[in-house]
Amino acid sequence: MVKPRHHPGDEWLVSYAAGTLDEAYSLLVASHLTYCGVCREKVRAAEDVGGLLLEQQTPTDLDLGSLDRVLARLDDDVAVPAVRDIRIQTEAERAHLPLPLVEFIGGDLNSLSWRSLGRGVKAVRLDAHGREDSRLWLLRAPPGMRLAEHSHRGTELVLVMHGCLHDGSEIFVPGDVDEKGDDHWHAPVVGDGEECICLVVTDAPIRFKGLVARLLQPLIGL
Amino acid sequence: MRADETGKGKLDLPADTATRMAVLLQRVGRQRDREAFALLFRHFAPRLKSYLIRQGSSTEAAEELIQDIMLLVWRKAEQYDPKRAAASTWIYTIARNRRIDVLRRERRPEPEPEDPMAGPVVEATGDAVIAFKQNRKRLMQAMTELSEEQALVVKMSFMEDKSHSMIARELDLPLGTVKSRLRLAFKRLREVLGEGW
Repeated sequence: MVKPRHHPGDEWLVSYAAGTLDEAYSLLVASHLTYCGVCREKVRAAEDVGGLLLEQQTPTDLDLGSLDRVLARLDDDVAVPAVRDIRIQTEAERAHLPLPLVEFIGGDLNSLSWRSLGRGVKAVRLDAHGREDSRLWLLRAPPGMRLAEHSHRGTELVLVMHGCLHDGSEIFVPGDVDEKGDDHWHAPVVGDGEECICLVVTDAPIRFKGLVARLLQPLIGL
Repeated sequence: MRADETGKGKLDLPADTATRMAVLLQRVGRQRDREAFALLFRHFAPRLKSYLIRQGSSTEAAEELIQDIMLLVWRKAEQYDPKRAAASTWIYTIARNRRIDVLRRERRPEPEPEDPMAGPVVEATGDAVIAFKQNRKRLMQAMTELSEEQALVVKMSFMEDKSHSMIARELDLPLGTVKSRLRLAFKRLREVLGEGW
């Protein structure tokens, strides 16, 4: 496995550690962490901030009997899964997809209702909860495909999971995150040879440049 | 159960809090030691209550969550590795995931710790317990050295469950400013503590 060279900004890692991200962003970060030892270490470091702040909390008195209640339940026979669902793990390995994603969709990519956007491009919006207007997508595009030129009113994070993507002078391979902010126009191109499969999070509707693309926008809901 | 929080009971425990908590958590993991668990509870549960209330929980819900969290601590203690994390950090992650589940009713995607897809992890070397005792002190120091603006966005993130855009609205700042403050705060901490602190 090649080490990822393109990472999400540290603010995403810190907020993942703090637990403030929506499911969509959280899933994208967790999926990137599956590929990236460097960012895992950063998240671990950021979690230490959480640990320290917890340690520094002024204690609040508990209800009387709180400790006894929990002590009485220690021997409850509750099965704690020591390892994650083996079926899902195998699925993830076989499909070379990050385990958090396979758990999130509860199966393989073929079980999803993909919508064709024409020219071999397919997308499916995943149901993700959160407090913000974030949207979570899976996108697959055939080799050599140029995706519609577009810009954003917010942030777009793209995690490449299969194949590769060229964006400007940069190339993104599995594990890499392409992060584009406000008013950055771009038209990513899928590398030759393999289909590209990406996980995409946007925090506002994408604004397409071309007229046809704009007409398509309400249709495909990007 | 008569041992007080400082652990001057039957157990011979280190005086330093972080080290003591790590020892207690390991005793729970290895020996299913109820006395050690009770000491952990007495130390962490009142702090968890403050944490959960700041996260927007009612006091009743916080009590219930603490029961859940501490039961998870009991059940998962075997997985605790003092080379990887301070006890407070380990318990923090359990509390965080549980409150996202219960208070926000959202899922918390997590990578598999030993996922073969991930690159090699930097292994802790030397006396890990001494290392994180020192790290904890340096982190505490580094946190006090953050600018007021940076410390505020860090606290709002970790303690008040505020997203980037919630912080931006509350402080009347552009979203980009909130993000860059978080990035700079983290960069500053890493500079002081070294990469992979």
